[in-house]
Amino acid sequence: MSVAPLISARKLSHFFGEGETRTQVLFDNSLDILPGQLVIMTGPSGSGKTTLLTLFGALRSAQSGRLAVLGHDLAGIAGAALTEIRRNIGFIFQMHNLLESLTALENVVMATHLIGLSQTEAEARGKQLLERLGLGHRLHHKPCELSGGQRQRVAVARAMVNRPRLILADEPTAALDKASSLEVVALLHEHAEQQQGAVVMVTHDNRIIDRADRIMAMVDGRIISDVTVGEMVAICEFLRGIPAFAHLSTGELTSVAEKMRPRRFLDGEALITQGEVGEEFFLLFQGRAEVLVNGSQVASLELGSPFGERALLTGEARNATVLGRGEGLVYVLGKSDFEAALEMSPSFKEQLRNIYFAR
Amino acid sequence: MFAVATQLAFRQLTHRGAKLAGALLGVCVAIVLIFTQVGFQNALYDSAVGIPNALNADVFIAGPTFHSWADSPPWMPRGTLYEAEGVPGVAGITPLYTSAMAVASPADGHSLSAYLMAFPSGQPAFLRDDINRQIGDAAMADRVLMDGESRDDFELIRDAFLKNGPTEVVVLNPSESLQKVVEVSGLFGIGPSFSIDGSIITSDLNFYRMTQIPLDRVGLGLVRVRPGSDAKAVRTAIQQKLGPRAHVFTKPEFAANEVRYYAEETPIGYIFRMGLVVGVLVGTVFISQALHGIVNDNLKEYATLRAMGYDQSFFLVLVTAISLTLAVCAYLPSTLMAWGIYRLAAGATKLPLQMKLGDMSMIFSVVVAMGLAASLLAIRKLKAADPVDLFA
Repeated sequence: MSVAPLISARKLSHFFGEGETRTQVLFDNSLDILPGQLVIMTGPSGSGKTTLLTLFGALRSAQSGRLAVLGHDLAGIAGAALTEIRRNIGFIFQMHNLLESLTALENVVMATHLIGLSQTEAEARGKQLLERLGLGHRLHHKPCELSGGQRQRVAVARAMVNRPRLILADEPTAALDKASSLEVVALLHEHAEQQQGAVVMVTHDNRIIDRADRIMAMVDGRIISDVTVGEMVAICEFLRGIPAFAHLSTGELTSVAEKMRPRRFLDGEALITQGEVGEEFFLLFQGRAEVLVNGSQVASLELGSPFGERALLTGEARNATVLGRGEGLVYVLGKSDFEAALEMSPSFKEQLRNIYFAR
Repeated sequence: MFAVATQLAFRQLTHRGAKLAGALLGVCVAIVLIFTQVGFQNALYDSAVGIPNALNADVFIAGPTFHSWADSPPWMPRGTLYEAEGVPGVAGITPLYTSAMAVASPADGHSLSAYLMAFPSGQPAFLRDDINRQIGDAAMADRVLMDGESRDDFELIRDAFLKNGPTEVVVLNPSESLQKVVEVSGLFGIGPSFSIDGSIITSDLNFYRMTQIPLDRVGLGLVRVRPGSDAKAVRTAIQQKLGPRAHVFTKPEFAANEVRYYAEETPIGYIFRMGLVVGVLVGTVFISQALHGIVNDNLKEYATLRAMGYDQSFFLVLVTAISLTLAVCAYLPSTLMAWGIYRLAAGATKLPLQMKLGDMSMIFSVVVAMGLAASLLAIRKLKAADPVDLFA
């Protein structure tokens, strides 16, 4: 059963300015962020990642395209409606932005007033989080009495105390040492898993990049790479098991894997139809599939099985139909990308062609 | 959420002690300014009606061209008062003779301007015991009573009286041959006004001796109504009887006319009214500036709260609480400072500068209103707290 995304964007564009000064900063970005994910957004300055983050955070009105956050369609809404949505989102800012007149614990508790938590429960949650973040001895200190790292950890606790399903963070580890950074990211990761929520983080911190479930790279207002790390590793392993790609280096495999796009299928859905022209290569990632020739089942495909490569190599029509069995997921590589991948391993390409032409 | 906003307001105010002190000082200055303007304005009005209020009259009859007591009442024929005596409800009418005069300073002989009032000694014109008790002495030839609260070198005459008893003063006239020496035989204590440095009271005959003004020329008719009679009805009846030959007022109307005259027809009244308006505006600006500084200091924090989901009503309560706390906390020390200024000014000018409960309440209301106005201005500034700016 598919899980509803916490953030869903389709052809999301954004503009700054009016009239002649109107400038497009985001271009037709589409993505789904699913529960349990810790997503890192990277990209050079001015690439649009912060604008995208503020759109996810209901801090701006969506102008063009569709954007749904936590089930709320953000298109065309503004003011109080956006404020209401923000109450279900945790924010962590680069400059922590704590209230200087309040203590660490009071800063954390300040967030709980928005959800009507009792003072006792709010303080208990706040203490627990601050202790987990190594600030048990600084509960009653004001921000001016805390180091930069300690302040940022208070800000992290403040973002988490309401147990929001979505946390948006802007360079949250910039002021932290490596150990603290990893601790903070681990805590956010744990939060995402326990709350079935998501954490979207803009960062340039290489020390934490390997902790991400998904890494999105943006350039010039476009998502140029969107990689789910765990799936990517699995795809690479599956690809390495396929003779056509076995000779590729890890970097080349990753490059191929990044070009593959996920596609969900339902029970009985035809992934390939016999007699059609082949345009795509498939890798079965979840679920099962059956191979039928002239209506008769000739084989079953299991997890990690590749299919659809013959038609791409020979230029012939599909010689079999592949039907999904149960709900599942395939990763799909387009014909041109498939051919480009084969170019990386020319000797195997020849062998394969010979085998197929000899049949 | 109201409690959260007010608590945060208090914490933000007290967090920066030096800034709070500076803000409070600014607001205090504004409130003291308002108190000063109100006090001076009240002194103007109260001193203007000091003598009329002390007169033993329920209804006043003035001449047809009468404008204001402060403008020296024009004379009218004494016969006019006899006509009014026949009006039902009138118990009696006392003629009051008035004239500007000058006496010589005992220090160097320079002219001291004074206001001379006189009436028949058998018909006490004042409600004050200190005058009624001594009017018999003042009925003796060339004797007068002097206001012991008078300003300037009148104080020398008062001091001489208190030290040596009856004291001679020279009444100055444009023609030296008319100069006359009279004896101050007693003191009373009404106090001067903005236009009168000192007052002198004597009998009608002494008035004639000093001024040569015929006693047929009366300044005011002081009408006492019979017990149980309505002063307004008597006033109306007298006015009907005398027609355009007189202006008739009840006592409150007479006092109100004096206040109106000063407020609307004299430069000083206009200046004090303007001063009060300027004081309120300056006060609002001071509170706004103090509030603006606090909002500016906390703008990022407000943007953070806005990002978290705090709505506009929260900020309205927060800023109003800061503003009102500033205003109310500044009010008490300002009142004490103003009281000190009143004492100082009253001592120097002999004017009735008093801290009145009504004025304190009114100014407190004005201060609260200024705080609210400042809050509304600050709310506009708060709109600049855009959470998007928090993302570098």
